[in-house]
Amino acid sequence: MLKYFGKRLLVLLSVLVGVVLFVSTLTYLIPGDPATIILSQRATPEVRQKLIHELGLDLPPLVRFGQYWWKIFHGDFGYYMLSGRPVLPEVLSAVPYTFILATVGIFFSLFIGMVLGILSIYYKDTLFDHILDVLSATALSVVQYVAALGLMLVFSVALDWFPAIGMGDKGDIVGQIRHLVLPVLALSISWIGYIQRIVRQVLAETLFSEYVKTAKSFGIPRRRIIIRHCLRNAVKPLVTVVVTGWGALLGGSVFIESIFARKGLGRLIVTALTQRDYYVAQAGIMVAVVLFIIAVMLAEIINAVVDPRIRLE
Amino acid sequence: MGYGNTLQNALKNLGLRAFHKIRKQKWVIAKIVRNPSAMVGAFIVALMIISAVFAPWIAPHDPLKTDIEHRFEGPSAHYLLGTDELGRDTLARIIYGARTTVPIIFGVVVLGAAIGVLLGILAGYYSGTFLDKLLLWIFDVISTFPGIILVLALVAIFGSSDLVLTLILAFWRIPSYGRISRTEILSIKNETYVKAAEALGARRWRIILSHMLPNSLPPIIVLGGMDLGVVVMSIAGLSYLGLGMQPPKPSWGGMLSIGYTYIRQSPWLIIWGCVTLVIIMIGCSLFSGGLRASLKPEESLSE
Amino acid sequence: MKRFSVLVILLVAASVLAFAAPEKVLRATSTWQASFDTASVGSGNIPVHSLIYEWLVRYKGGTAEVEPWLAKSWEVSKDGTTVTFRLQQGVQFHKGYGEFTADDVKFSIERIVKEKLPEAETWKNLDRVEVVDKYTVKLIMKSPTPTIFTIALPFQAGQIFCKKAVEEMGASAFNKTPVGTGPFEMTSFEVGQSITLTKFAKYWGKRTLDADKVVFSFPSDPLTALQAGDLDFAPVYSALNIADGKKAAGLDAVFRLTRFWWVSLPCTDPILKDVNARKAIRAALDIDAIVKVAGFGIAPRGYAMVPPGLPGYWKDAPKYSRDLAKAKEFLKAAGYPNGFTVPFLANSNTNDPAVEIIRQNLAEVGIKLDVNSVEDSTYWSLAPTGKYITIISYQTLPDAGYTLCWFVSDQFWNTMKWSNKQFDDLYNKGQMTMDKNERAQIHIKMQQLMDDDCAMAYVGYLPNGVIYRKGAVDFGPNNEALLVNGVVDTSRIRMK
Repeated sequence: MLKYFGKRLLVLLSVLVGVVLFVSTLTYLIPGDPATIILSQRATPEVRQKLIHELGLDLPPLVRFGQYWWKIFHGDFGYYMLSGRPVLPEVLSAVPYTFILATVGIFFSLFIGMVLGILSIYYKDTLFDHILDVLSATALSVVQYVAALGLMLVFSVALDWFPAIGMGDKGDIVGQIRHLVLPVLALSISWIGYIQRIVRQVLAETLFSEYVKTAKSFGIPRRRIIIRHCLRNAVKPLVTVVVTGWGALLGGSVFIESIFARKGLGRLIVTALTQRDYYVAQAGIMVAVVLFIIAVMLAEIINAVVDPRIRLE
Repeated sequence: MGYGNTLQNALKNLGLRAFHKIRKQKWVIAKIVRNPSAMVGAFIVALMIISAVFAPWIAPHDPLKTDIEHRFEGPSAHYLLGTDELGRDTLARIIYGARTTVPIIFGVVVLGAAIGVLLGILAGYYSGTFLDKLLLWIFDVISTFPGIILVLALVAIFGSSDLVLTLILAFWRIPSYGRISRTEILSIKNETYVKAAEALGARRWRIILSHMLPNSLPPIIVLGGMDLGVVVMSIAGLSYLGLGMQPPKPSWGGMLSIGYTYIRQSPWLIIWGCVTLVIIMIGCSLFSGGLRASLKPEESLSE
Repeated sequence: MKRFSVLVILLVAASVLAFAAPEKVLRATSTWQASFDTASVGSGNIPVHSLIYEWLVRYKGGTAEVEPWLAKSWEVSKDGTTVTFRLQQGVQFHKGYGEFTADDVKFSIERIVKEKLPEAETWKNLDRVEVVDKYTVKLIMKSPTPTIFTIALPFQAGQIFCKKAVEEMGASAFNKTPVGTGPFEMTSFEVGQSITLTKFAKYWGKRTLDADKVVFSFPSDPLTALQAGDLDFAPVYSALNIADGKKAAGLDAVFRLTRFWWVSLPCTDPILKDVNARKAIRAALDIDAIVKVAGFGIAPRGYAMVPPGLPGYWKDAPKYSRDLAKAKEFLKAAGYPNGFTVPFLANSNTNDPAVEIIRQNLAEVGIKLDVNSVEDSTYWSLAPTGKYITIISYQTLPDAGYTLCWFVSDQFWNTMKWSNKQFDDLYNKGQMTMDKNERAQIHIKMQQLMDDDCAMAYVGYLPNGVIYRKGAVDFGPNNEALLVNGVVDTSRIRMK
């Protein structure tokens, strides 16, 4: 089995290389340059040219490409345009925050989604089931930034239960948790809908399979069938969805992070792209991809552990 | 036996298969009719398409006509859902929004599915070879890239015209279809009827076209149904970042993010924007759920 | 006995509470911060920087008048070319970098000219800065310069930096640890996340802002955060934000209308190089509608670049209203009786409703706009190319010359690429004329030239201002914490 994972790791590493090449090409193709954005309107074209030259942006693309990769191999991921701060430490410092948001968000969604999915199968085809069906479809349609705004208006402005922006002070655990509630809720709404539907669908499929019918004919109570037998089958798709979703959230929670003014990888990358801060964007995307690949590997490992059939493949 | 002949035979077979599929379709349709959620879904999807096609006949006003004296109004007798920042009728803009958005989402799904399925079949049929590994690698590279960021970067480079947007979003969706069709092909490959066909000496393409493709379609169709809604959501997200819209043409995702900007001037814009999106997503989810239920005979045979 | 011990306990508790008084934190938002070495970037984030850096003189009470600040007093020489400043004594720099002296003044100003930093244009007339003694410094100009006290010293170009700090640390390290004389020092900066400034104990002057800490954050929706009580104020730069701020429960907004707003007509465009084509556009536009729709009840209509209240304001500017018949006449004169097609540039991040009004207005006379809607960064790199019609606004300072300087020939930000020698000559003359009235006349003439040649269609004036939580902060008499151009000088805010 180790050999299998070793091979998978190599493949995923090659994916990482592919992505990074893709990223580098993309960022060179984006029009506009950081100089116009950073400098004030008073800056003359000479000043602009000087800055572009300092940032090394006037070199031919292949040279820039080569220089960039050479530096990466020496651990130098570049510097923020003009603030001069080294990129990699800043990017990595954003990771824990996104990690917390994504992890809490996904597990919260998983828990609620599973409970609702099981409940809807238990009461299959009743009004409750149909209402939940519509509700989860509605939840899927909730756009993150709208959910964020709605939650803020209700819970921060009207009720004043939770703070609207920020992450809380260092060392103040309670405060940090309070700052996490609304972002996690905003993130979870569509995930809960998604997970509920998957759980319900998988359970519905397995509930009518042969071995379950056999179990039923033996008189085993329905609840036990659902939990003992069918849920096992749900693990594989759930694990895949949850873990890869978690990986995607690490790079993709842009809206939540921007609106709640939280530090995070997604926000960092999008802001960098908008500001044409190339090194930051590239480093950020690379980190996001690495984390995603780790998540994918994790999903595969868990699946292999849980489902012996895969191990035999 | 030349290639042409084989192609002819394959097509004839495909035609026969299609005919049988259509007969099965009626059965499928019958099942959908019996399933209320699926009916609602189908109705909504149909409404989307009708709005797109018949907008000029259905819409109460010209979606581009401005009425500056009546900006940011709530629902009234004249403007059923109220007006936007230029006094344009919101209902008309939602209906015409279908004209902009429906072609895009169907384009994305059809194009993404077509290319994805083709590549997936190739990968699945030639599984284990370099081609398979290469295609999987390509799928991985595209799907590992954080979605929003990929689309953001591509739009920044190539612009946000409707055609470009469709191509970019289709590109983003290819891996999902690719992987699913590959998985389907892998399992079908070992089915008895395929092995029988191979044993009888049938040519590869014939097997692929007439046996594998039709049988692998159900999950693709189901995914496509959901994707219609997913793509609308992505457009809404992109609009928030300032991309993917082409004013003054109304687009559903665009209306939502513009409504967000003007929420304090008039909450109605974002309310109707959300309602539209909710209805679309519900429609697509229920419809694709219904398709899944009816295309899988096992589930409905019991109970 | 029991009562006595209860009293003691209460007293102790009270004193503990008094010592443990929570620190006063002022919370605000900031625009994206690139650099604290503002001289090298040129762009100011004044709300943040006004806490760290100071000026020799500063704007007085929300007007364009100046009052002594780091400079105690000054004398202007008879020929008007030399200003001798006597500096405050005992002013300390942050982080233990010693006392503020004339050397720092010389360094701060000459650096801009020597290294050709963005504000070099403002100091174009500078000959040199001479250190007379530790607290006396002479500013020697090549010729009398009217802008020294209006825009050079009290704004971007006049911020005082610590010579020792910049030279020792190097510009890029200085970026991370800025050193100035202001009432607060920067203690932490997380890019795009937060900027924290702490009270500088050794501050030389009288504090207006009585806070222990000031924290700036970067939320994408400051209004909701203000309403939720998470922020105290948010500087804003758009009419919609101000209008929303005034509407929102518990919030209010103050602003100044100093951004000039116009429709730029590319003068080198093959069709629009004919002044009749441009006049056709100006006649076809319904400016009042644009102002109504994009002004949100805050921005007024204007008829010339220089805003009212500034010397150089052209009171008698012609007031154009929509005249379709005239527009068609101009079209005929230009040789396009049925209209033409021209490219238009729109910013997709701001979704300006004015764009649609313009498009429809012009369509009515047959002028078709090919609208290119691009995202913000692309917009700002394409706007100066002079290839598009666009509706745009620029910041100004209390000097008409600054307002009009953008339209000199070959100026990068001359979005119309309009070129008029007489205008250029007048501009240069104005930069050297000391008499206020004469100068105002020159600026009025310049605006007349632009208007006659239809280089653009004036729209109005947009606000710079701030939204704040009612009862949280006070901006002082005449809202003096809001500088004359609407930018917030945080050091003059009072916490309630």
